[in-house]
Amino acid sequence: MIIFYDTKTGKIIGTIEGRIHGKEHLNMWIGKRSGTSRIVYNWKKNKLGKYEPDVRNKTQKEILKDVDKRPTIMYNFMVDVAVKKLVKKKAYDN
Amino acid sequence: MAQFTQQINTGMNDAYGVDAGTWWNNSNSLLLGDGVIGFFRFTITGIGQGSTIDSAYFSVVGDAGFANPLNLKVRAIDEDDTADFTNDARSRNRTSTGVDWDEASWEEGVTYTTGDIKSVIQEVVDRPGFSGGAIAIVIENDGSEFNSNANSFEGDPGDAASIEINYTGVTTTHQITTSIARISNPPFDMGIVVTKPTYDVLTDKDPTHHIFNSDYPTLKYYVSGSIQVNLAADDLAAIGSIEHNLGYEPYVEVYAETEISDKYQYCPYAGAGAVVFYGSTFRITSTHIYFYIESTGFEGNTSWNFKYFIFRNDINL
Repeated sequence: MIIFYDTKTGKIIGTIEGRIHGKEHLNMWIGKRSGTSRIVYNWKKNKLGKYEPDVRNKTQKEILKDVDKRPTIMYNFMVDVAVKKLVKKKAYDN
Repeated sequence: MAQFTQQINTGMNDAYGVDAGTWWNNSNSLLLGDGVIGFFRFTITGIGQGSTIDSAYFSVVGDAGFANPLNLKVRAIDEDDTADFTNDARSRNRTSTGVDWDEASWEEGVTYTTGDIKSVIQEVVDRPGFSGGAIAIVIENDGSEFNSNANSFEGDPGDAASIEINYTGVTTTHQITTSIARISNPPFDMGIVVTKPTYDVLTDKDPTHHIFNSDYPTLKYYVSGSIQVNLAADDLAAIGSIEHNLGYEPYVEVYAETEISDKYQYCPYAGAGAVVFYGSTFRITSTHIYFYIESTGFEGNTSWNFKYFIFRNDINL
């Protein structure tokens, strides 16, 4: 999945779904180029031969697995722009 | 266990680049070390996706050198079937796995061999799309303060670089998973689906995981995702956009989230309540998809979610 978010606020603007992202996906953009950033999450085989998100952080891995099953829950999250990680939105975040 | 060995066999399969400067793909000698990156491509046969790499070694023959240490890092280009080096390959992705290759000195005519680089080769072979294509070894500098030379194919084909890979497991050049022809209640449910390696043909309905799907004769590749368009309390309309950059107007389907959360309806979509009205639509150009929303009567800011499917035209693939 590729996530596009507001560079300042971390609010998610849009997504490109999928587990492997090639040239066609990387050539796309959602929202305005200025003020929008993206994070590319690819999936990779683990030591047991199963595919999973290619991130080290366990919490991030679980979030990405959930989103892979139900992409529409993506908007329950936002990006912590300081560390570029997905975090659950709080009630007062628009 | 089987073994694959190969020596560089064309001039366009070895090259080196000088930092951000010249790309040398027809040189009689290849520089390694300080400020340069070496590239060596091998056309793999017999090793299929999912094979286990038991050991692997890469060798070059010194062409000229100095009695100075050479500290290198061995990686590979992280692609399923990397192209030859007619064009500059420095921007191609490399494996995250790298293996140190340190030599205390370097002399002409001596064969230098890496340590076991199986982890580097395994990372490429484990790629979901790998099916026995070409693998390229990349030799990065890793702290050397000097350069040394390796023989190139153009300089002496007999002394060109070589690779040895020992492996077990899948030995076919193309691994094809089970395929099935569903012929039930024809002509309405009849077709053939062939999936890419690792995907289950019986359950996986994602066309991007399919090599062939007769249900999508011209629309078998699509990109899907979502976009959220926000409408400020004081505004009546808002717009969001996706750059697809395909260069033609693709067939697109868009679904808008309804007032029932997580339920989507085909767009254009409109609705109304006692004191509210809202509507959404979209427009396609050769580079963008624009999403429009319009509403009145809501208090506060509102967010509108769309789900999109962009079907790419086979003819343009």
